Amino acid sequence: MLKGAFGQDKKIALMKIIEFAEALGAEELCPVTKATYPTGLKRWTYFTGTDSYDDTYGRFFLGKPLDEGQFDENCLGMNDAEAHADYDWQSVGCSKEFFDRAVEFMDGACSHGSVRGSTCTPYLSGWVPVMGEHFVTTESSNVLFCNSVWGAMGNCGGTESTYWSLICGRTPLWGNHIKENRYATHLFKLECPAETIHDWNLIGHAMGRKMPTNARPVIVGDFPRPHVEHLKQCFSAMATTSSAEICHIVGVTPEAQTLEMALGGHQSEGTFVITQADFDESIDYLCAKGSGPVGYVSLGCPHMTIEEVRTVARYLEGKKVHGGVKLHLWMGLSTLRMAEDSDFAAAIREAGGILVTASCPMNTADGCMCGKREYKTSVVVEGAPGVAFDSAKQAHYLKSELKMPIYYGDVYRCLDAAVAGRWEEK
Amino acid sequence: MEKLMGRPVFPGVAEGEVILCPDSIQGFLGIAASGVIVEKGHPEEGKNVKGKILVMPSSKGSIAWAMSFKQVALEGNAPLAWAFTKIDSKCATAAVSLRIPAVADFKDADPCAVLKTGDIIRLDGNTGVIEILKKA
Repeated sequence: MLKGAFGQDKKIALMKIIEFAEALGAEELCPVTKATYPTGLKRWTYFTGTDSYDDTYGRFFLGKPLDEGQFDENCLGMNDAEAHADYDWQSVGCSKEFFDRAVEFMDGACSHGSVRGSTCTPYLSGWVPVMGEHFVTTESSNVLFCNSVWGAMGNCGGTESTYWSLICGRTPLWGNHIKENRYATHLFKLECPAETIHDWNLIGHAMGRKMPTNARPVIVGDFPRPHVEHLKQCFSAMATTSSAEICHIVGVTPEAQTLEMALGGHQSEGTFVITQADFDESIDYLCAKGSGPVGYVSLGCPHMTIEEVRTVARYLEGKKVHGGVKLHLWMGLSTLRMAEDSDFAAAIREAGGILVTASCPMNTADGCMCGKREYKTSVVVEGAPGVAFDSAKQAHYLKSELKMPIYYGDVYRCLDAAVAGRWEEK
Repeated sequence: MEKLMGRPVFPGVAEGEVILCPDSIQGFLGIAASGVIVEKGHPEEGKNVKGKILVMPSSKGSIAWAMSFKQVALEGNAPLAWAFTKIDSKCATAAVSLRIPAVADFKDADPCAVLKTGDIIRLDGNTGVIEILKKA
């Protein structure tokens, strides 16, 4: 490959991966068989001044336009969350021009064998790296989920290194790709509520706040078995407030059937306890004080499971979203299809909710095309007097970006706010 | 002259003023393309990283960490160099992507404990050595 026998793209990508390995201090590479990554317009796509996926992404990651042909043939690649929806550009707040170009870009990736799943939860859409399988991704919560729940092996890296791996099918054998580096280093005892999705959202946020850099936590405690919704929410919040890439849960995750198994014969380097007081601190940071009007409510960060969609459909039965509120439910393409054919989508639309794919409030954008430097972020919330999220990740990140009050609470409080047009302090 | 011994991560030599980030910088929405640190509550919130040497334990938060700094660099506001107490995959991606001198994996002394914002240092990405030229 380094001699160019598989083409210039793979040669350059492999050279970059070797540089990446040297920066890490890795001595070997390993094969990658799953990858997720953005394919549409991003805030950085204007820098190359070009107007096609091949030109823009190729120049950005390889220093030249992409050649025709497949990305690595053995790697299943799927697009991650994008800055735009797949269909509903009006409700997301971008221009038609931006949307049309974005779709062209996404189609451009498909010409190289990329799958269009348009989701930050690809493990809900057939992109499932199994135990021991090496993956790369540009979604931090996906790293935590796949390492922890599937026992698959992957590091965070970044968009650049993910693309290099996607193209050449290799990544440095380093970090989570080596079993010895996956054992737990720090114990987290849950002495807090751990029953609802909201509880696990706060567990992830609070754990991340307390966690030492590069820790590998293991959770212990007496709590009901968490479901996929609990875990995806926990891991997205944890990835926001920490650098954690794997999190064991004794009796739940495959590399932690016992605490001894999770620690792998090592001593824990520290023990932390998560209590209601930690929840209160997180909420204090994430949720604006008092009551007030809301104009935008978002559910589905990370993208919703079909069960979460069903929960919303049932809760909204007989209710109507307030006329001054936009209620978005974010999900991947496959979940949307299931929601359509199961009639959940119709029920939610009847109540005034909007089902959208591919993006989320903090990712939505407009501009950034073909040399245009103007770039607007979070366009979907423009004009709202207040916004409400059921995701700690959205509330946490958007505190740095938005001027209006940000409210944070569980899905039911958010839906109540969408119906009333107001967030009510408890 | 006090020296800190790390591992070379990306080649090149830089001399300049330290910005110490003891809890790193949040990637996504933590730093603006202008180079200004915008992370809420960050001890150096409002400072510009352009032309400075960033000293931090490792990365923090989103996988967009490297890409956030890449945008800073593309706008012409890149830091001069960086030192990481311990390398991680986001730092290594950023080092290769920005192609500025970088050192990491310090064994005897943690640069985050020894260095302060305003110190003047010489960072050698070829050898992994940091020399403290002037304390703040």
